Amino acid sequence: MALEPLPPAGAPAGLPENAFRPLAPGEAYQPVVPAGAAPPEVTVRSVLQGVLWSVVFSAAATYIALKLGQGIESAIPIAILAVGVSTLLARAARGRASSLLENVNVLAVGATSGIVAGGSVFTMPAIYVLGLEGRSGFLQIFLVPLLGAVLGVFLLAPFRRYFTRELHGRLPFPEARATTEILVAGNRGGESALVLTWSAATAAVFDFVGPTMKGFADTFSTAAIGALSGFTERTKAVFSMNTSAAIFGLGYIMGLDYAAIILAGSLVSFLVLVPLLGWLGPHVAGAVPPAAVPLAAMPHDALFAAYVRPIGIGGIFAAGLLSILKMSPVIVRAGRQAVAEVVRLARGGGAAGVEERTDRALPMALVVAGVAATGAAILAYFRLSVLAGEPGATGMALLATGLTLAISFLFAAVSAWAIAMISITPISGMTLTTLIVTAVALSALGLTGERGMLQTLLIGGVVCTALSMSGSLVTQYQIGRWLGATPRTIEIANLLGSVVASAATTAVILLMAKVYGFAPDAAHPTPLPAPQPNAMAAVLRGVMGAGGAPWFLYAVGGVFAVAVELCGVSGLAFALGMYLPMDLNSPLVLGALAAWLLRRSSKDAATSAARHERGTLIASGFIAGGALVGVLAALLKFVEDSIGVAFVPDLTRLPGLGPVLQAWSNWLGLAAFLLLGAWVYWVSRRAAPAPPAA
Amino acid sequence: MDAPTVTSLPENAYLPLPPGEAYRPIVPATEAPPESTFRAVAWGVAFCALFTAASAYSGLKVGQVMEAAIPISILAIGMGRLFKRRSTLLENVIITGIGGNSGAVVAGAAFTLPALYILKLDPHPWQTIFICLAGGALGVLFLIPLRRYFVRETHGQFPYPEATAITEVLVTGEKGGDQARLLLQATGIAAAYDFLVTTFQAWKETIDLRFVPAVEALAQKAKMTLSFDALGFILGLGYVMGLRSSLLLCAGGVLSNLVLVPLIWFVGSHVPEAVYPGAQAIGAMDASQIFRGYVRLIGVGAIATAGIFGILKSLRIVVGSFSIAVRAFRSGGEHGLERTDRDVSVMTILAGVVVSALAVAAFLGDLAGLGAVLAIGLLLVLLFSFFFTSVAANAIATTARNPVSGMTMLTVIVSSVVLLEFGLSGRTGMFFVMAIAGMVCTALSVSGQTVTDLKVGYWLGSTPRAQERMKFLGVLVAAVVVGLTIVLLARTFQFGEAAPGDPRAVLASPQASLMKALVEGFMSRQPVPVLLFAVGAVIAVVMEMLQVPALTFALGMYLPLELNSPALVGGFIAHFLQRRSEAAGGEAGRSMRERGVVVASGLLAGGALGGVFGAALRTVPGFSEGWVRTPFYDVDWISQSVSLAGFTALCAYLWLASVRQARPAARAP
Repeated sequence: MALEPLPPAGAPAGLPENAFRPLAPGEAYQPVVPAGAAPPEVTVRSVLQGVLWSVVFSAAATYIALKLGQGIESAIPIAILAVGVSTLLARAARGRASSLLENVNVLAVGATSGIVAGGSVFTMPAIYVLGLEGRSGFLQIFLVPLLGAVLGVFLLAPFRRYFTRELHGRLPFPEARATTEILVAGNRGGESALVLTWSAATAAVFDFVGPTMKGFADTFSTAAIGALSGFTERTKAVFSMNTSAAIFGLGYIMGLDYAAIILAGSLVSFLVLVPLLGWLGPHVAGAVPPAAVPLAAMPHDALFAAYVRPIGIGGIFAAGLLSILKMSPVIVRAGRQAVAEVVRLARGGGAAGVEERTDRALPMALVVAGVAATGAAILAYFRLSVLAGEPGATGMALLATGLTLAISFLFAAVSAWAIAMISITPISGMTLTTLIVTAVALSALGLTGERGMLQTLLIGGVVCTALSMSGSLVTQYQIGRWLGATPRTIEIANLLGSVVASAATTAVILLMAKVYGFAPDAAHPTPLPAPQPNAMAAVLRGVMGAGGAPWFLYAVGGVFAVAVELCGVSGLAFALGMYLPMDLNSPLVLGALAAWLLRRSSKDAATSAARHERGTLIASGFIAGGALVGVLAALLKFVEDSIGVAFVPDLTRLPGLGPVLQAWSNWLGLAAFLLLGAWVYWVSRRAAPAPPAA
Repeated sequence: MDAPTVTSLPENAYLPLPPGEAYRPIVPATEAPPESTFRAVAWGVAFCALFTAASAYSGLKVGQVMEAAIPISILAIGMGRLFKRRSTLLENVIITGIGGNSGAVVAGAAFTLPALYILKLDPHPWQTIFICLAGGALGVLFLIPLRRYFVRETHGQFPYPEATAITEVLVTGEKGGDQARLLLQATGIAAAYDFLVTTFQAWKETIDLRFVPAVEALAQKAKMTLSFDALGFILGLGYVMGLRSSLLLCAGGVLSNLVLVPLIWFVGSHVPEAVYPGAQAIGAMDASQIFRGYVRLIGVGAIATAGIFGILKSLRIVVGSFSIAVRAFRSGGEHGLERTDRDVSVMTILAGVVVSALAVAAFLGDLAGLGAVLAIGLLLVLLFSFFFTSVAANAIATTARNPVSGMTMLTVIVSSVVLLEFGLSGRTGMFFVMAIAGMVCTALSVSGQTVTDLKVGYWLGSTPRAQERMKFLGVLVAAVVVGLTIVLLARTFQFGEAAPGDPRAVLASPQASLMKALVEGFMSRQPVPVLLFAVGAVIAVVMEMLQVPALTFALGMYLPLELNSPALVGGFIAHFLQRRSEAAGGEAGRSMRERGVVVASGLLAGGALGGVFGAALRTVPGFSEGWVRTPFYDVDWISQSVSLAGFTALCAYLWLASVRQARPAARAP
């Protein structure tokens, strides 16, 4: 974490030379749009676009996080799309091209989506996992991320100058840099947006024809191969692979190292632990808790769900805590600096001289009032809604609000730091820590059981969203700083974005809860995996709920994650891999492999980079398109179930072709998926490097 | 002739070389001081014979084979001073190389040959000698082509703990002065401590903290046990291995002992009957029984699979090594290569393999007649020896430990199953399988010892060809001595368990008893626990996927946890000392690093010496561990606390002695 000046390597064309290096004393940074100029910034088109992308990417991010436990990148695709729309308006509609600052505004409204989705999806579905949905509703699930996001904006606002002005050129800001480069290099953006659009459409068709219209199997599995049935029966060892374009894209973006860790986790679950259980199974007469049937009677996926999944949960939990432990120097440092900065601001050290446009933010008084108002809202909400009728409710609500504010403040600073340094922040680890601290504190006050769990989850949700928000906001501040946007506009745009994103995310969560569920029960035999919520639920059930948690398996999983960390491998990725079903993990490696091959496809570094970049665009399109179709499929299913009429065509019912599709669906799925991968490789290979700028 | 002025090892001795940089040994390739002199060979042979006999007895009695090479290197230094002309560094390497064979050959023999007696197959003395000789020769022959890969090309990538200790002893002993005193001090401390703890009942050697009620509950209810073998030897080993390797080793141990054992118990405790290959119900087993019964087999599968990956990785360089040799052969001699890179010629290796193969064929043919069985047996011997050579070299280079019993077990199982298919069974079959296992086992342990030896030579500047030739001599001497010793012991004692009506005293020979049980079982068509091996194989594949050295991890899974956990402490000390020395920088930092390695090597050497003393003392009639016994030995909490305090003191010593700066006067060149 040294504050070494970064080498000024590769400053993109269009940005001043001193954008990426520390300034000499007395030197000032002149942004691309100078403070004196005031091009259109907040316009109808920028706000409309921002809202549209916010809805689209909230839905996609929510779906991917529930299905795969991964967050997705929304800032970069939104930047590409904003540039693309601008080009479209200028050329096709003969209108005005959007200004640079309008595009920053689109980004500021839209990019909130990924953040709010992350904060909400990691915690809120746990309400369903714990069976507390009777005590909750749309308004609650909507309010939590909203309050968190607003809190995040207000908590980070005082630190803007510190991060972007005083540390100018000393923090790498990888994500902000990539996004800025796209916005500045607008001329090539039109083409990129086109690639993004058609790849999203391709993925949408692919992921709709397969799983929804049953054109081919959505999962290739060795268990479905007749010749292997004896082997499967005897060893319970199964290899399976989902054939989804979205997951392929995710793997591409993720890269081979990370994808390999996740798949390794799956291999351990499905080819080591499940076969071991299968081997002991025939000797056991009765049922071994937590399962209710004897082992010998369970197929491989039931063994996985009953015994191996809790091991994965224990692993996710332990790895989350370890990630906090590893971050502890940053936490201490960030906390210390945050306090010092607050003290300085309180002494009136902030406002100096006349404000330029590019330094004009929400007034400090308003920020303080905002924090106070949010705090009051949280307090009122806890006291009057969640804890109503509880003995000692006022004290508990006060404690809960205090905890929320204190933890949010600390973690918001940490998260901003982490994003600025490495563009990753250990969200799930920080959220788990929050849950534990809160649960222990509330239990000590005597609040346990369902109310306690719900209360803790809501606090966790607020903190989780607040800290992801601050990470995203710091990125946008930096983009604005480089390009010359007005900070106040960015702040307001983020507040607006939070409302839109919270609503969209909550809608998708409720839809998914209705159609698929997040934990297996009678109505939902094959739920969405939702790894983080299940881990959070397990913790809460352990600390506050009645007994019956498979403690032993959790503990074993925790030890496993420690062993993996000892090897110098990310325990969180590995445990996530252990928890998720193998079919969702194996396609990641195929996508990552395509990226790896493209990166090495040519001896010329520029050509390889251009090919890899084209692939990245296609992959981003795949994620968005595939995820949106996933949401659409859920929506269609919901409508079908509601009105009792099936209107989505089922290809296996076709006369003549249907039985063939059904018989060969396993192999067809594999073939279609491999063809898709080969196609991505082929299309990307034809990309050429950009001609050198004159 | 004056001994050349000996300096320290070059700075890059323990570091990977940047491209273009070459490692220059202490004795440069251009010089050729006396190496395989009469004196060196004679002393080597004498030490070899002595240590072989002692080691064989101790191995059969308590299952512990002496660590011979390090003590012999110390003896060589001492002996060298008695002569008018002090022995050269390279002569000492030859003495250590010949002598070091003793432990290796004995390990091979003690694991397998007594099983022949337990099975009442009564081998002829020439048969026991031949098994050791053939195995040892194959081990050396197969390792020579791997030398360039393991010793030269991967310089700085493997820690080579045992070779480091030997090299430090030889160099420091030769150099004398301040560092020699330090080495002697560390050796003395570890020798005294380890001797006291392992030989007598002063206090507990192993710390498991089970006197704490919570820990005991965890061990009882979850079968999660942590144990810690508090010895100076393992501390020094961990230091030399470094943090990364000791972390991996520990991670493997954690997976075995704290994940797999509890998991098997979790389900297995509901099983009323015994689950094969265990002999009793899992619910009635304790953690270490579950580990030995099931989890170790998973480790064996992982080691074997990791070995295959290892072969694939070294293949390119091995082939390159052969092509260099062939080219050199065509152009007449190896004059193109420097002295320190010259091996026994490739034709000699090939001829050696052919002769060994013919001899093995004749031997096996004598047992089972001509035919398919003979061909298969021969093939098994060659394949397994070749395959395990790379495993042994890699394992020794990383962790100084050789998975001898696991690999022998694998050999016994595979050979039994394959040969049964070809109609071999009964007493002949058992003899046949045990002979194969004996040869493979000896080849494995000899090749591990040889790679250590060649690395020492590489650091110091020996001629590989001279070392390799002497290796064969060492194998011959050790094989004859161990073969005769076992025959002799078999006359006066009985091995394994006391047979009814046999009044002779019993030598337990624990490993051989295990092998005997295996061969009996599998020759009577017992099912093979394929699933456990396969699961281990998957784990090795997963580790390769994670770009983690799979063999080190697999060894960690296979070795008992108590041998791995103290190494981690040593690894951490090495890590922090490295950081400290970097902070100090310059000459002070360099001195810290040097002293650290010297002290750690001293602890290793001392631990080995202590073990040898202990083994020697055990041969005294009427020996009892209770000769030295503290009143609190059986009071666990005191006994283990004392042990913990002792180990902490050793750690503190290692740290302080390394950090302390040498007196300025002693540092003058």
